[in-house]
Amino acid sequence: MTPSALRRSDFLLRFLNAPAILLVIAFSIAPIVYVFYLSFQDLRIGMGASGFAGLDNYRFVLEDASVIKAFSNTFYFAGLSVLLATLIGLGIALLLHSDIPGAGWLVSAVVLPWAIPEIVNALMWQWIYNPTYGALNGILYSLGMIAEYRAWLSSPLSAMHAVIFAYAWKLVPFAVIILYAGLTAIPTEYYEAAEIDGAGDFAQFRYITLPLLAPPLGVVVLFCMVWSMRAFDIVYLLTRGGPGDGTMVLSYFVFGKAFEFGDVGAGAAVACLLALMTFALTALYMRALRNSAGTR
Amino acid sequence: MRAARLSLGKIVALWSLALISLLYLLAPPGWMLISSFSPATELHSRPPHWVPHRPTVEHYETLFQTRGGDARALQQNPQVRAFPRSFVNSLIIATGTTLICVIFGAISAYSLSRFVKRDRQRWILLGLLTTRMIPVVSVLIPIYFALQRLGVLNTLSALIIVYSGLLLPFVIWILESYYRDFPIDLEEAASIDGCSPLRTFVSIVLPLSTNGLFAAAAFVFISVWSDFIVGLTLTSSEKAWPISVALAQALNPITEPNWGLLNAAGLVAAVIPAILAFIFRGAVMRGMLSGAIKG
Repeated sequence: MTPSALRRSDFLLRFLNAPAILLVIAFSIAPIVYVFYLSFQDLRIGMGASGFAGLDNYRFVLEDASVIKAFSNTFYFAGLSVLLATLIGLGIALLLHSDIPGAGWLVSAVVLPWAIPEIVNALMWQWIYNPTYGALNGILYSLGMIAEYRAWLSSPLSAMHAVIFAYAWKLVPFAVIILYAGLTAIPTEYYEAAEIDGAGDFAQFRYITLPLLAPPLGVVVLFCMVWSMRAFDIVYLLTRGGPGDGTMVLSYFVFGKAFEFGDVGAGAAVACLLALMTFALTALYMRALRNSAGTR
Repeated sequence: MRAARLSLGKIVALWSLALISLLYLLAPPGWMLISSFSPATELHSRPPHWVPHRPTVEHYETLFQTRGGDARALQQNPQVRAFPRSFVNSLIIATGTTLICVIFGAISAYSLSRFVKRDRQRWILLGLLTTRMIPVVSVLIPIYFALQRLGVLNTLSALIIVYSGLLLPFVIWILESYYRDFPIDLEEAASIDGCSPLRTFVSIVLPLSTNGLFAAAAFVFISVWSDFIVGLTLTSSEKAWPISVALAQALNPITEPNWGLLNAAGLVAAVIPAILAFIFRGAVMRGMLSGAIKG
């Protein structure tokens, strides 16, 4: 492809590559290697390093009930956030695709949650969930659905679902845009043929839209899953992992362990497990992608 | 085409669904906007006044410590004092990172797409993608210790360098795909006319790729502006706090915060990324479709 006239770079251009290469190595590659190394070290702030610890950190964290809880919380949080964002995203994408007059308004509104910084999103929902003045309490009270104002973030179960609802809100734009593009890529002839055969709306959705939408749905689920497994800001601002350890997720656990308790070795071990899970997820997806490309 | 087949009943049903969706998307930030213009007494009524009877800009005046601001509110929320400074900090950090990422990212992306052998190129791109998948909290521990040893924690320049290192893989990834689709004929012609590769890049490729560069710049700026965890970990005082950290600090978990003030602060923090996203919404959507954007 590359013509011979362009085959070689010159020294100056090569030299100008150095900053990017150095920065990427220093802050994106070396830290991954180093955090892996740290996860085998017994390193606690203020205790002095006592050197190589073998698999002790991993053994310690995997036997720790709070780590197990953080794992299950993370899966629950990520799974439900992804499900919610995907369903709402699919609904809005289908609406946009139905060509109703005025759908253009919806398109402009869709990008908004994406553009709002995560910490502002958290602040916004903290205010909405507020136990004494919050809008959620106000609405439900006015509608007569609750008899008195409630502290939504004070019990582990309702706190978890409040955090999930707030986080999913920010994932929706991504889901909508990917799924809407997927919908527009489906040839309209399929629907016309189905119509002639007498297929109703639901049958068309079930046998044409859904199967053809599988690849974009896969993209939405994978990326939203990867992002929600590392969610931090929303938990930090809404609940700090509480009440108790009701909303303690892995990324917040790593932060607390390493930077607040100073147990760097254990924090690094959990950080490595978190990274490993993300890797596994991505690899699985890539393989599925290659397999489906191979069969077509 | 399809609209013609919709019956009136269907249109009404779809419209009400569209209205619900619109409400779902707009109501939360809308409530933040309204609250930021409501006096405290109205915010504290039950149920709250959905439209303020006496709208006010006092929260904004207090926030930026201008005339008309409420000095007592500022005294009761001392963390809010850091807000104007952190706004400037974030501007400096995001601009600096954007410049570094776009300049050096463009050079490396171009070199990667033109002068690296096909099979090596694939490995490098896969590596760049992989670093993007790693949760940032995992790499923050080593970065924290490195900066601590160098004595540059809590400085703006350290934050710029760290953000650049974290975002460059992503910038190189999207710009590489941009340059791959770039017509190579012009470069060949320049090369035959005796232009060096660097000269060709600077005077022919760069001016023609401003679209891609601006889109990349907007992504980097929004990512840095919106980041919280990196700023939280690597800063310790208002000297270097980015806006997100100042916001979180102002939300005092012990006493009930001044919500009018906080909503104003949140809104100010969201305005710049929202405007950028609106201007570059086409690029934002294309970027999402190439599966390359952080949510």
